Amino acid sequence: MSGMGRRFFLKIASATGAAAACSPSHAPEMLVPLLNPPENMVPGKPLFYRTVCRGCGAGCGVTARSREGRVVKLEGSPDDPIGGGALCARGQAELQSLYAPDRLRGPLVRHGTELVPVPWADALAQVGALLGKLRGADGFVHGLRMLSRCEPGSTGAVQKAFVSALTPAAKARVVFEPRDLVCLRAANTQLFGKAELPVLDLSRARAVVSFGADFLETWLSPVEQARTFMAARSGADRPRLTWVGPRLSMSGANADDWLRVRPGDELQVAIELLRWLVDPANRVAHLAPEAAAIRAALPPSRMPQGISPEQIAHLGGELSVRRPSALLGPAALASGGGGTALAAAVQLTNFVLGNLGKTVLLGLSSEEDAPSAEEEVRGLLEEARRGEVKALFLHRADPLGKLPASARAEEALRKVPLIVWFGERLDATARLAQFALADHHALESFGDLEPRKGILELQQPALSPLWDTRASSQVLLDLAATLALPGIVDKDFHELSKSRWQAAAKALGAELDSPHAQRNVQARGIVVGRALAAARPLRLEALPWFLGTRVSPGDGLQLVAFATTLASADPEAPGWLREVPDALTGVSWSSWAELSPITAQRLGVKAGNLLALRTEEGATELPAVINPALHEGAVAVPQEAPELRALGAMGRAVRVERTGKTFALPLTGHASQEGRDLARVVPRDEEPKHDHDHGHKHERGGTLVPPHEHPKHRWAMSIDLDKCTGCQACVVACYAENNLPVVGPQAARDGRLMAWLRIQRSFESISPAAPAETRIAVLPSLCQHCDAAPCEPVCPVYATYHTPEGLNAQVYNRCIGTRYCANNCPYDVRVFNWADPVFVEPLQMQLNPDVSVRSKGVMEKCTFCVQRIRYAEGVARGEGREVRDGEVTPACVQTCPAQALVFGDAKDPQARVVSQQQDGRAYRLLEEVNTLPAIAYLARRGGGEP
Amino acid sequence: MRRLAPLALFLGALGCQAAASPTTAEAPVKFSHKTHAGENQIGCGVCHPYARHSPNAGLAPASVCIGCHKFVSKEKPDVQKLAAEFTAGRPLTWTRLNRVPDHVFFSHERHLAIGVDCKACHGDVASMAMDQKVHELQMGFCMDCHREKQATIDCLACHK
Amino acid sequence: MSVPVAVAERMRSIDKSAEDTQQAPGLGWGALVALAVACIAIGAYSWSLIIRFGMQYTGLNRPVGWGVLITDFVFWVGIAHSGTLISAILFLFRARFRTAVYRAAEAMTVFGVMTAGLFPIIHLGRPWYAFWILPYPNQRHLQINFRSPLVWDAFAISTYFCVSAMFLLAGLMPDAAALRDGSQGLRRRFYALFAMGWRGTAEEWRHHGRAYLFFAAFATPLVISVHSVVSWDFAVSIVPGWHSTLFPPYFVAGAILSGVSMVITLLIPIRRAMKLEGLITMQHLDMLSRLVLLTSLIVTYSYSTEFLLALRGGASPERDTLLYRATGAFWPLFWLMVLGNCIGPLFLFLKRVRGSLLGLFAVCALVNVGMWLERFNIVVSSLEHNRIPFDWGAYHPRLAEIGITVGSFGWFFFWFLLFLKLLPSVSIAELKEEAAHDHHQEAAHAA
Repeated sequence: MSGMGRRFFLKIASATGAAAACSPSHAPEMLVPLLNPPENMVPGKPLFYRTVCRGCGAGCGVTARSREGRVVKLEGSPDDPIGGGALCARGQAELQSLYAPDRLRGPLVRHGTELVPVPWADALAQVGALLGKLRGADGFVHGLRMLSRCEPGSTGAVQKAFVSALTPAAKARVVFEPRDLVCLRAANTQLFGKAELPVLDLSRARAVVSFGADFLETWLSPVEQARTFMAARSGADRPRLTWVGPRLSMSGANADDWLRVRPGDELQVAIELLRWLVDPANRVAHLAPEAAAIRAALPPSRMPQGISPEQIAHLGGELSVRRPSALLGPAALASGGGGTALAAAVQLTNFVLGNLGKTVLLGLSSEEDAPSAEEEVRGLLEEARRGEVKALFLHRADPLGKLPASARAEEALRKVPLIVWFGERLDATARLAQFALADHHALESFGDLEPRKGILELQQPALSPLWDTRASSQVLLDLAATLALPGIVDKDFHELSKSRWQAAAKALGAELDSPHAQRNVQARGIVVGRALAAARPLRLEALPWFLGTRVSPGDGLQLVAFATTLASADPEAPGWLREVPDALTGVSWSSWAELSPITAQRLGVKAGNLLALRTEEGATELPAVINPALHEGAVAVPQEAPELRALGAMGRAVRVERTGKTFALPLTGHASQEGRDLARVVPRDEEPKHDHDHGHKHERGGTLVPPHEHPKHRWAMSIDLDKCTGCQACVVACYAENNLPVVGPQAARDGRLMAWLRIQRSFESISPAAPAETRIAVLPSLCQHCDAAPCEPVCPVYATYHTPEGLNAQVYNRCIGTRYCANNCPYDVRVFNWADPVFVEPLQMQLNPDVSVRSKGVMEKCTFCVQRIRYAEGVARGEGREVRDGEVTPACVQTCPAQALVFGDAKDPQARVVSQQQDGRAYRLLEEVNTLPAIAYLARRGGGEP
Repeated sequence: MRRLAPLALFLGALGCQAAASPTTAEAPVKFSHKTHAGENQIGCGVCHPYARHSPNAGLAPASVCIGCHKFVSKEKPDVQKLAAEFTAGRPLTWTRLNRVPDHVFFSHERHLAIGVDCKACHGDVASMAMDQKVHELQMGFCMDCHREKQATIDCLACHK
Repeated sequence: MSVPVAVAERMRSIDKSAEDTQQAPGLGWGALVALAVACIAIGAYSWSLIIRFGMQYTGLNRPVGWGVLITDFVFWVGIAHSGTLISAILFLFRARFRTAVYRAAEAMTVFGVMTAGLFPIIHLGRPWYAFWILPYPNQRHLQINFRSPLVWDAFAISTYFCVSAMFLLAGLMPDAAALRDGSQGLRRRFYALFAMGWRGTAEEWRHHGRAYLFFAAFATPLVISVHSVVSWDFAVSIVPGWHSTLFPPYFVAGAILSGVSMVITLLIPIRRAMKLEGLITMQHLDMLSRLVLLTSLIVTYSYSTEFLLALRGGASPERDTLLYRATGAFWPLFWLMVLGNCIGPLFLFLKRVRGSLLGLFAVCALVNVGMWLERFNIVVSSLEHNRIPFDWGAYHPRLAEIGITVGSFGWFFFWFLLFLKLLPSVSIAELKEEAAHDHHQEAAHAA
């Protein structure tokens, strides 16, 4: 043993010692203090700004949370009567469009085929010069046109002034809203003489019938409607929801009855329903006096295929007793005579039943800047095609990308010598423009908005512009100055909008005399005045016009375009909206075409097969998805799908063939619950009564180890499945609040989406015999924060444990990634980081500094937004009081439009969550494994009695 | 001699380890807590304005320095340098001395609210002519204090 | 008195096997080692991918958090079982047939554990923190969670490794000493390391005997405990298809089955290649194959119990999972497993099969495959069909995992080949002792 001497040992020892000592170390960090600290900005503390969401026309108020000058989260403004403090998924995702990596970072000018960066001064000078050339002796630019999205506020006003100063033409400025409910407008024009949209107050409706209107997702003002409708639903007299259409949307999934008709037959159902109501034989009381006249005008009866007179009678009977009710429809993309006729029939029924003025309010939609009719848009393109348009200003309008190919927009736009485009991200149309002028994002700009009468919302910047962008209106004012346009005096858009909104606010009775009062208004970001619905007389002469219209759906397959709450199919949508799977089909990162199981079987198609779709307008290819909640006569395509442009509008006859190719469709979610009764339904009559014991029932299940002590709080949640619409606003809010990475299509295919909270959809009672019986159950699934959590004991390093406040905690920096906890979680709510997260510049600016960004190889999960709990506790401690009930809201609870989620302290007997958990419908998920969850689900109610 | 080689290697390694984490930091201008906090009794909050109501303590904005040094000891070269930088609109760059590990959400506000003395972590800076790192702010250091003061030792108190 | 020819003959062949270890390695041996090293390289590269870019290089997903890597772990722990069984338990039972084979079996055990021990580290999301699983004092005041089966694993495996290694070394001492005395230079140094200064005095023999007995007694319970602990990784969880009190005995039996089969699959070529037919006789193999038969029957019984329990009563997640295991995406693997572990060994009832090297080899090789698949089926199918149908998913191994599996075989055989060349693969001392013992008995009879 001479080999292993003392020396040798020493060598080994010191060598290892050296290795151990050379641990990697931080490079010295630099601290750079400010020269002059800004006031009221405290690093490490959030600031809140009020502004308005411009994601859609609804105009929900927004509270933007900002940290160190960056907006990190959007939430609804509680002072706003429209959103009522909630935001939809798209509203949440506005944040990602602000930080979109492909946003324009400055103005561009065309250089041959390229759009190249140019300084603002030059860009403006060039545009001014070109306009100057085009100006005639009379100072007008004949053939100047403007295409803009709907701008009910100062922006719109500036545009109008600019255009009218440059051209005498009457309809020189066209408002382009491809998703606008044109049919409803047209119908209202015909029936009541005004091209307006109704405002809905569903809180009073005792029955709702929707003819394909996804009023809980995207239709009209979804957040408001979800809130009011679900508020009514939780009342004693639960309103019934009937869905009429070939496809159950998520709104339809919330319906009690489904009249499953061929595409296009909705009109026939509406007319037959109307006929039943006005038929004296049925003795419906309190009808409008015009009933008789309407009856006289009705066409001869024709029952739509698959609908029995009994069903109509049943629905009619329901509507005759359940007053007031609300009939909604048609869907956004319903078009042509059929769509308008349907809208008219629906509105007429509302009129007859006296719903107008009660649940369906007319005369409230904003007078400002109503979207132009389809014809006007096509007319403008026609002019362009004839070469009459010399200069075209586009403001956030993308006719090329949004109109069907049949509109031949490209051909038209190529004929326009000068196109000046305003927007954030280059779209199809921008690629034809001479000037692409980078506009501020809504969160960077001033402005004012009148989404409807009686409500004024202030658009106020929540952060200074990220890039070298300018407000389009400011640019127009500058141009007006250089061109010395008559009648435009303002130089500064901010001043203009300020004086404008102050005038409007005064008109609404706001008190603005002192600067203090002004600041209050700005702090609230909204002025609410009184506005009354107008009673509109029916123009009887209009009746024959539409009651004559007949749509006879062909026997072949027909195209149905439907709206989705997210935008999996929209290549231009922000990552969150693409990655979070479509709640109904489970598709992410792709467009798709839905077939009913029967049709799929007939064509021998399986999910993921690539289909060739052909209409008279054109052809395209889409991967197939089998949807049990679809009529076999329909092929359904999401309206965001770019492929839809080739196929044209709704109601077209489609030929479907297999291409033999398959497409790796990112598809998640098993279709059925396999009879495990996870998302429960209680029939109306069997609903257990409120019993105090029930909430604690589960705690009787014996446990080997004693349950945890919760000295101060025990955070808990209740989820009302009768209210949850499956809109997934909560999911996106969770992504935003907790720095969840977007992992992309391949990861989605591999089943590696990172969502902490998911909407688990399952198709129930699918039977080929009675497809109309198909029901969809949704179950929001997140960490149940069990008292006896199976994940806790199996972690070898205590990375997960039960906190004194009842949270099931995951300590990311302690986790070594055995994934045992995920295997042992019966709810599959633990998420593993399969790779390091990637946040493409500048998306990382959105990251919430109060939450760690997790690295590869660690497990993560829902924390009940512990950072928000800590924040609320901090505020309470600062004010020397206890946390109030409802003060702590995780992101999902905060943003739920339907207010289906309730969060609170289970140890506070007064807390809402406690009474909810003691409700008769309350149950715990997988009670049999005795995990003692902190979340109680309230079983969905079966439909109320007619 | 040969037998000392490994030992030297070991010590060398320790040395570079020590060098890796600075115990003192060179400053852009000669700044002495002793003068400011010690002799002139300037409260910590004056130059670390956010400590009492935010997780971050904050570092004296140049404007604050100038606030006094417009009048006080203008003749000193470092003060003149400071003034020059300020008028040029260039912020001073300091080297970070005290640093909590990653994954820790430490709040000065909380700790000051319950009356923890700055000294507890930063040492008696009032007597330091040259700033010194007194404590390695490692988890064990926090835990000892939390245990002793019966403060929470819930992981989520600091790790989120 | 004169030594009869037969005994002398055996003595010579025993010595020869010792000499073999002295000869320069043949070309074939070199080729095999090269192959093994290549496999290790593949495995190392695959693992480096996972370390650098994360677990995305595996086929794992939500809900399947464990796959091939854990399968390999259980498989190798199983392989590591026969050694101790043969050398320790059979030693206590004074089963004579062990002497010829136990050395190789023990070596297999040690190398098996060395391989198995890698996987719990490899499969971690952050393997560089693997040491956190050990209880060591740290300034952060952090503990490990003794309730977690993974911690039990860490202890069970390391203990098992230490004991089986000591057992092997203790047995080696006299032989190593003999070799040391017969060699010079570097070789001498090398054997000296293993001989630990053995001089062969009666005193030393006495102590050695005691120590050996002690180790045998000490190792025996480990045979049972180690794989029981491994089975608890699954049984302790509440995953349908894992959560079963049956698992410990079921796994131990399975482990012995796979272990002994592996011994046979290795011994058959070895005795041919190293001309040990004289020492490792058909009778030895026959004994081992009976052990295979017995354990395979126990395993079959466990399978049927598992299924009967799941299928009785109404619909339950267990039922769905078990049915899925037999009829789901991986049904061919399931039935191949049944063929290998339940049906194949039944042929060992036939003396003809036990008697033919080819037949025996075929059956045992098939068992090895079957046992790997058993672990794969248990791990994967259960996770694929957990309690929430919405999350039912599929798992398909990716190249990195297969690469690591290949690497593990390379690693195992690398050590085993070195062992075959450098150390006596049969216990010279004990065989001689036996031979002498036989001779004395014969002499006694003669008298």
